[in-house]
Amino acid sequence: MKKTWFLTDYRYLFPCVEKFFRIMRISIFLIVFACLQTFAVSNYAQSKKIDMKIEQASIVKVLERIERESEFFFFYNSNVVDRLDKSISLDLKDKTINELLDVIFKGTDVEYTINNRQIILSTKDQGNSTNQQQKSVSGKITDSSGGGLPGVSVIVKGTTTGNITDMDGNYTLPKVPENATLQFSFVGMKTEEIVVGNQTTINVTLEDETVGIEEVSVVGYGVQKKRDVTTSVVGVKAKDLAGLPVNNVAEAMVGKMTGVQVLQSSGRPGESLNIKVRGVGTITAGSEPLYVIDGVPTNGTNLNSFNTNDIESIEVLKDASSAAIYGSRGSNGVILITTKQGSKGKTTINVSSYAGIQQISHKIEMLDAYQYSQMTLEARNNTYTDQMGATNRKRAANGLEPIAFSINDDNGIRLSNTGNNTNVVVPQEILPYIQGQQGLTNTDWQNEIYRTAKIQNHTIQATGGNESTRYFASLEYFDQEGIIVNSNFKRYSGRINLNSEKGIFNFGINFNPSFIKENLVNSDGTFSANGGGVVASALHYSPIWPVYNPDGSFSFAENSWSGNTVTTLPSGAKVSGNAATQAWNPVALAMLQKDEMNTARIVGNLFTEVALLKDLKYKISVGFDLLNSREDKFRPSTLPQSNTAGNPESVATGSSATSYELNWLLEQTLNYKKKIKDHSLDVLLGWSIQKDEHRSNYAFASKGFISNQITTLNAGIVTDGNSKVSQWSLASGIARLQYNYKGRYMLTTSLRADGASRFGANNKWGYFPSASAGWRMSDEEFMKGLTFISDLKLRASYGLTGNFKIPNYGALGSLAYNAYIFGGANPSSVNGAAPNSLPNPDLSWEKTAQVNLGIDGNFYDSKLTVSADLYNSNTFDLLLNVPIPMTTGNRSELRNIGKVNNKGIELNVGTKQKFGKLEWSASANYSKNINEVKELGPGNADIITTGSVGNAYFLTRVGQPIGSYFLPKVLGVFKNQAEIDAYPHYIDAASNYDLATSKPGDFKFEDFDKDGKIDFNKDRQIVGNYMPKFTYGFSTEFRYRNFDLSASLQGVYGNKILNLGRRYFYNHEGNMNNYAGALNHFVSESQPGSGWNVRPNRVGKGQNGITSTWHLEDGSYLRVKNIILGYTLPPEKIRKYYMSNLRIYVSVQNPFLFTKYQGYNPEVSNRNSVTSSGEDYGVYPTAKTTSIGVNISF
Amino acid sequence: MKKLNIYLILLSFSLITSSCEKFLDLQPIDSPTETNFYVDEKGLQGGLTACYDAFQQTGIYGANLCALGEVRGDNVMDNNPGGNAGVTYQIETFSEKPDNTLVQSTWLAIYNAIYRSNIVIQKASGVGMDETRKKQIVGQAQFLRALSYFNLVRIWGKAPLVLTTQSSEEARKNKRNEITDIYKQIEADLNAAIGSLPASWPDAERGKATSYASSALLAKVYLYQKKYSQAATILQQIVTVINDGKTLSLVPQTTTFPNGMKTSKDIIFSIQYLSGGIGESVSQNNRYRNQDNGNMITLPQTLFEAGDNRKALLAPTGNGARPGKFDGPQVNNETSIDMPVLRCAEVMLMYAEALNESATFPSADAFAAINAVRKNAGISEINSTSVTTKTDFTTALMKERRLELALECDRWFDIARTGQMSTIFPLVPANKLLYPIPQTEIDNMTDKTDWQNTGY
Repeated sequence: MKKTWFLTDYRYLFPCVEKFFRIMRISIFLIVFACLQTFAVSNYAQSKKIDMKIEQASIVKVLERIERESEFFFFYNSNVVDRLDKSISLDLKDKTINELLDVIFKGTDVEYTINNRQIILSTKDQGNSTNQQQKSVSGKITDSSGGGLPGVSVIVKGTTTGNITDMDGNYTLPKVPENATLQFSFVGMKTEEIVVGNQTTINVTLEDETVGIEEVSVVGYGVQKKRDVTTSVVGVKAKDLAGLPVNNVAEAMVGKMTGVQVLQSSGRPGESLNIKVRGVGTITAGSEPLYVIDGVPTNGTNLNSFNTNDIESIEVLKDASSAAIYGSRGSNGVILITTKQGSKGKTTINVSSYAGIQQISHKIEMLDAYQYSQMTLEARNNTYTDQMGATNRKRAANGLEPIAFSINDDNGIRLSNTGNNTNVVVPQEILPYIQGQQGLTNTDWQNEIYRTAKIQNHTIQATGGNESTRYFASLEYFDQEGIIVNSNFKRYSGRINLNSEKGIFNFGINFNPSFIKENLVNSDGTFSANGGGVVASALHYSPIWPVYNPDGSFSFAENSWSGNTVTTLPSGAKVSGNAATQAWNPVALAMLQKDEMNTARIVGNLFTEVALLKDLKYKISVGFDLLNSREDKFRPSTLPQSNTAGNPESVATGSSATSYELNWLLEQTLNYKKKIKDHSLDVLLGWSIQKDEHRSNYAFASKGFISNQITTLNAGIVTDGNSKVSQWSLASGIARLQYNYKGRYMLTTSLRADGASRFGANNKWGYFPSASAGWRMSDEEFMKGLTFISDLKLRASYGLTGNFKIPNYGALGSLAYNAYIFGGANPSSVNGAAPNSLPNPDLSWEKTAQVNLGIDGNFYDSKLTVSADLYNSNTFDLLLNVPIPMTTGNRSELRNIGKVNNKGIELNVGTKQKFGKLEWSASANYSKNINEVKELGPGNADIITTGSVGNAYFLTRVGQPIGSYFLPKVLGVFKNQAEIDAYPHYIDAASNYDLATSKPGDFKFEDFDKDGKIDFNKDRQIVGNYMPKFTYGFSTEFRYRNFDLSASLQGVYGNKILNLGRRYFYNHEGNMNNYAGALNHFVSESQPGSGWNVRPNRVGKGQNGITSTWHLEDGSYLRVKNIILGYTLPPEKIRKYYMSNLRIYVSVQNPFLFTKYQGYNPEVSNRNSVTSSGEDYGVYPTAKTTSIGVNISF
Repeated sequence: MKKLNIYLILLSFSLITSSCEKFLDLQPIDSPTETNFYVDEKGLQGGLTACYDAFQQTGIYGANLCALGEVRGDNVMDNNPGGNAGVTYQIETFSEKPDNTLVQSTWLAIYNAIYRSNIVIQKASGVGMDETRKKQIVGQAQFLRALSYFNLVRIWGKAPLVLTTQSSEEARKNKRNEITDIYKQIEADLNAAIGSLPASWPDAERGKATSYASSALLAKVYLYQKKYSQAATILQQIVTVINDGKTLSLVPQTTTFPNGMKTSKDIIFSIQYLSGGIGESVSQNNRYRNQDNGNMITLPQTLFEAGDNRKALLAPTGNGARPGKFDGPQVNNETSIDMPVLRCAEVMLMYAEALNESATFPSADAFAAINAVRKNAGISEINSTSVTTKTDFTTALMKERRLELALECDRWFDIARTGQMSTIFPLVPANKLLYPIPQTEIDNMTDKTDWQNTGY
């Protein structure tokens, strides 16, 4: 893989390839040669016949002509050059190259070696410089897996004599002196040196190079040798991605990158991942990093259209200095994705396939039907008791006799006594369970909605090329069923990456079409008027109901349960309702509703590069990302309306939404690279313009569907629709200077200017400078004695980046449509418009200034590698939705105001060891980020936001991290009345006669302001944050003979999750099913339960239901992300099947999770806003995937 | 050649950079902006439509006024402390705090409606169009602004009087104006509207404010200020029209409710809705649907006299059901049920009230007015034999208002303005006559003094 990098690199280093080669030292040729030669055709030299007629021309000219007329080309040492000035005349026909060259060099001391198309010229004296005894040496070069390595250069050290291994890794070197040392080098492998001595056969196994000298890093607008990088960049290479059954590129990054938190907040197939680079620096503007694919900054953040197999590398630019080259979009970090390019040589075919099964990683233990019924009964009895207590207190106050009551009263008496309060009704359906009848319906709804789902991926790739043109092509089929019934994701994708060089021109194209077909289920969120989330519904749906009616249709018993209940009062009047909360059968919700999404996307770019001068290149490129999607939804009439007696059919509705988004980029750069002695200079100047246009159409049919089978809108009556257009544009200029002296002192400075359409007329442009410096200490004389230090580098950088993720017309006072109904007998909708935001012509960038200090060390030849970074980052001029007086008619206004600080430390330690045949490598990382709000809007007023429930508060306050949970703290439950009397507790309004006042078994809240009263406005406090205290990751790989075993894990510590679903499935109200933990509830002083689980009550007293720390859970976790065991077949066994490589593997994704979190997934976050992150209100759970796969190369 | 190349490239760069400013100047394509919209009659009319739309929202007649105006009163009870985080339950039990999100969203919605009206009134002067039609547009905006301030003042009392669009900096300096100042502005707006609005609109434009609607609202505003004679004077004119029965007329409630509101002559002004998946409907849940003991009808059936055609419309409901008065058809929760703001029946009752209060003993006209409503309801008339004092008449009138206007977002305000709170809710402290100013609004003010109502 690194080979390709090298190629990219050398083109940067040597712009005029052909001319330049000729004066290069042959040792360098051979390295290049290795790449070019990888899979050369073997007998071209014998078969190619050449005609040559020339009068008095220099040998150079003759050679050039041979190059033009054939595919041969020459390499030669500088001391051969003077031999080539000689003039000759030729008139030959139909000669092989040998015959031709023999004539040309007759009478000179020039010798030639033909290696297929490459011909190396040398002088005879070189080989004969010593009088040592000479002999022929041959052997085979293999890689660690035992496969022959073609194209390895074998050189007699100190000379230019050498050869290159053939297809199978074999070489022969004539005339080798006995005291000579042979040097075996191959890009990406460690160079081996072996003294010849008396050996005639020298077989060598080359090892992979971890910190390869020529390893390069993509740094934005080009590549840089990794050893010269002075900023904070992390990356993963294709090798690390191989064998992971992941749909999404980002998933492959999990746990492998220091300082990069990859959160899989949902397990929905095709779901995009949430990536946070070095914490969160913004409050209102988007916090997603910028994705740059093959040099094209994209608009989207969803990488689910990409085939992971096509990716060569992913690099994350973490510090502001490296990201500053992307200016106004760099604040949240930049993720550079580079796809594989073709390599010269014979076509290679790679086939990668895997297939596996996915299962829910764990189920949540819920009450069964009997336990549920018992709790419901208790809850209703307690409500009745409380209600009658209040009623009798009121009667006493009015001088009336109390009403006698008992929990044995029947529903008629209960309703009559409480003024028709249906909360006291005992649903009759639970009675058989209470009585302990066996064999009753006892549905485990989780079993009903989750399934064992299949996953498979098949990719075939071809790569190859000749001297001028290289290609990489790929085709993929990916098919993933969701673990929730009726959900799946299918992708068909292709790629062609093409590169062609001719003279000073270099032309390239990357082209990546993909098609995605998805069936979605509404998995997220709680129940709602339209049906709601399947996951939460499955948890709280009562287990006493069956999935299907006896006739096979779906049962909707719970939806109409309350409506269907009619109680006759002693007076004879009838009262309907039992206060059971309505919910839809989750299986029906998943199965009956259609939500089909079709997406077609084409991502690509074209470029032409011209070497204007030897060191100066001009490049023009056009990038594009075209995204077309269409989503069709249908809700059949068989899903009934909400909470209606008899479950009448609803009216079927359907919608169809199409979206077209084109993002294009035109970019021109001038790049000057010069190396003068020890000074290397790389200057980049560039201009770019980018524009994004999003067009969408939406149509909705609210009625008239002729059938539940035909779901397209033409079968119904379209009643509503719209079409929308939205654009943004960005114009930029960039300049960068990279300089290094002897590879020891490195300096990079850059400046980017960005103008964006989104900003106010007065502030369209922003300027983003950066500077970084590096010092390779290990190259200094005083370090030379410390041989255990292989490499040691210090880095420092400073940079300014921006964030422009605000709505497209955020600076303008744009109008929204507001229709109204006019008309009497024939009313109709009339459109109107009014401003929905205040204009702000001063609106501009949000800016982040970051300082980064880093050190990279390599000790004992990669036995220990250490990398550490320290950073301090200040975001200022925040794009903040500042609350403004509502008397303006608006609630908030987008302003540049406020400051946020992030500082942190990142540490990465790696090792690579060899114990006999066992090779072991491991890498561990640790990142800690401290986030602090420094300044907010006017008066530093707190920003208080609410989650999905009105009283689920999040607080953003100066001195605190962004978006802390702001809730009352529960200290347990009151054990008895004496404890209540002695402690501040909730007291109900006097007019309510203490109906809702705290009672034994209700929550004891902390009186935070110590004023002796429970008033949640004053007693809310900061109780945690979704941002972790630190994160860590570990990955390891073992290789033993042909086996490889790898594993990676990631951990997060100190984050909290607001498990809001607990307000339903852990509320002890007896209106919905609850966690099994509810069995430990408070019954009485003598049976206090866990001390935390409240007394069951249909109508919670003492504010038990308010969102509090009862709903907050510790989200720390350690997840084993994957384990992969692979076996590579010995090459000799597969060669007869034309295979060069065959690896089979077994992989488990998400096998283990260690956490105290009670929900499905501690990475969850229902809401995107950073000011209210970390809510779990029902979300698609993550799956455990077990798969078997194979990688084959032909 | 090489030099030429470079020149060509530099030229192309400069071309691109020089056109940058234009490239970056993008205006919305699918929606207008303030600068290009309010330029002609269409724009002004579109702006006015948005003013009406503001009243449709959940924050006002969509839902919240039902809670603030009825649930707090004695016709409807919310016994669902967990529903929507208990915000309605708090209003029911007088335990709402300045952080109550329902109260807050109403404040925002009303000021948003005022903002929309202010824009139309402000921009009108710059639009060249037929002056009569322009006056009609401005008049409607003035009526709607008056209605906004009327709701504002009866919910919160003192509040900032904002009559032009404000920047956030200006708004941070706002102070609460005195109640009398607010009423003065309401009267000015309504008097202007009376002068510029037609008595009726063609059927296709029904729903727009009329001069009668402006007069009726002005009279109501006078009643709230206890300016009875002024109220009586203006009401008399409308009563004549109602009695005439052409444009306006008393109609039995069973004809108007639940499905005849858009055509009934009883309706002087209402907030209109339409179901059918066009985004203009109102959810059946927001029309007093009894869900989990929210919206339990507590108006005693015993209050109705025999034969009262309104009784059935206000019978207690079972789970999932709505009271008959608002029980129109629904499809997937959507309904077309309007919320009446001003009705002929109320004009009659206001007239009776104004006459009664401005004399020592109810006049024959006062009896005639209340009897017109009673007759319409199908119950017997009252007279000076059965109602012998001014106080008795007031009692009868208040009961009639309660039954006639039940669930029309008015009951709580009647209780508050007529000093009945201490009798109906004896344990509730007097400061609860007004709702708390939302804390978030006070937080946004530079000078926070005198921003909160007493007791919060």
